[in-house]
Amino acid sequence: MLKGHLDMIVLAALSAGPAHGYAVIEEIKRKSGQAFHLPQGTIYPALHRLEQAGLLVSRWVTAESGRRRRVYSLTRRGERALAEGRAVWQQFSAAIGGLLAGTRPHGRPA
Amino acid sequence: MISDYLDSLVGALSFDRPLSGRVRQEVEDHLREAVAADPAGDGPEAERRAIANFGDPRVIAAEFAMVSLAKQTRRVGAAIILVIAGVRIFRLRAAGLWISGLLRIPRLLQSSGLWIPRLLGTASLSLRGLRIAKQLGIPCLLQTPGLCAAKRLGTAPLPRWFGLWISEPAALFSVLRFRFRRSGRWLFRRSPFGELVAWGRVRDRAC
Repeated sequence: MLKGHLDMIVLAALSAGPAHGYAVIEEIKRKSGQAFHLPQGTIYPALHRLEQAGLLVSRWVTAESGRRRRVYSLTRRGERALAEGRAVWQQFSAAIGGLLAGTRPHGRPA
Repeated sequence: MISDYLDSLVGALSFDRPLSGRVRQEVEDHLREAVAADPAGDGPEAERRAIANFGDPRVIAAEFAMVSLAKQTRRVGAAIILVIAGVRIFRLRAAGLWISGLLRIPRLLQSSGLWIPRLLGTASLSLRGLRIAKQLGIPCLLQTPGLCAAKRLGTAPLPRWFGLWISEPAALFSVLRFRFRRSGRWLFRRSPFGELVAWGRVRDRAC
């Protein structure tokens, strides 16, 4: 289930600003309260896939350690995709929440 | 340990050399940073943990294979579309050139007043008519209707300069020849085309 939302998770982690792969993983851990334990290596194929889809852009920078690292950032298309994903998730979450709580969804006839 | 892990990952990504080079740099940076951030320090144990957290290189390579396949599919698809478009454009262009070439023939003939086919046709008709007339012993004046028809096919729509510099002199010469022939003397060499035009001019003037 988590894998199906990986793209949205990565986009959400990058919504704070540009970051390299390790920082993206740390951001996911921090924002999720350490809830997700993904194999860290699976983030990189997702980053590449999102970049190919035009949702991210990346560039090489030189870190303080002297190592070259790839920094990713959201594109406008990526921001729009994240906003749409958030809206869909909120609807889904509200519907599931209502279902599990045994109440009827809002706005539906009785 | 990290180098061995990177080598195995790059080996698993050998299907896409540019991708494997980029991934190696990215993953090396990740693992070095993970080791540096490990509370236990940067020893072999921290490296082992970083590698374990990163995952099996074959599993990661399999996920990258999907990314690479999608990229190459897009490239091949774009190449196929370009090739198909190129072939179609070439075919359309070739067809267009062929059609325009065909269209150019009547246009050229039209722009030249169709004088080439008309001249050939009228020359042929006049020669044939003259031969028949000669065989039948028909006087030249009686050839006029046939020659006039030939002339109508040929020389009537020709440009003005043609009439001025060719038709009229030819008519004059032919009439003179006719006169001289009637008198039993040949002044000019036989000229079927001139004769044709001459009879046409005679008819035009007479009618």
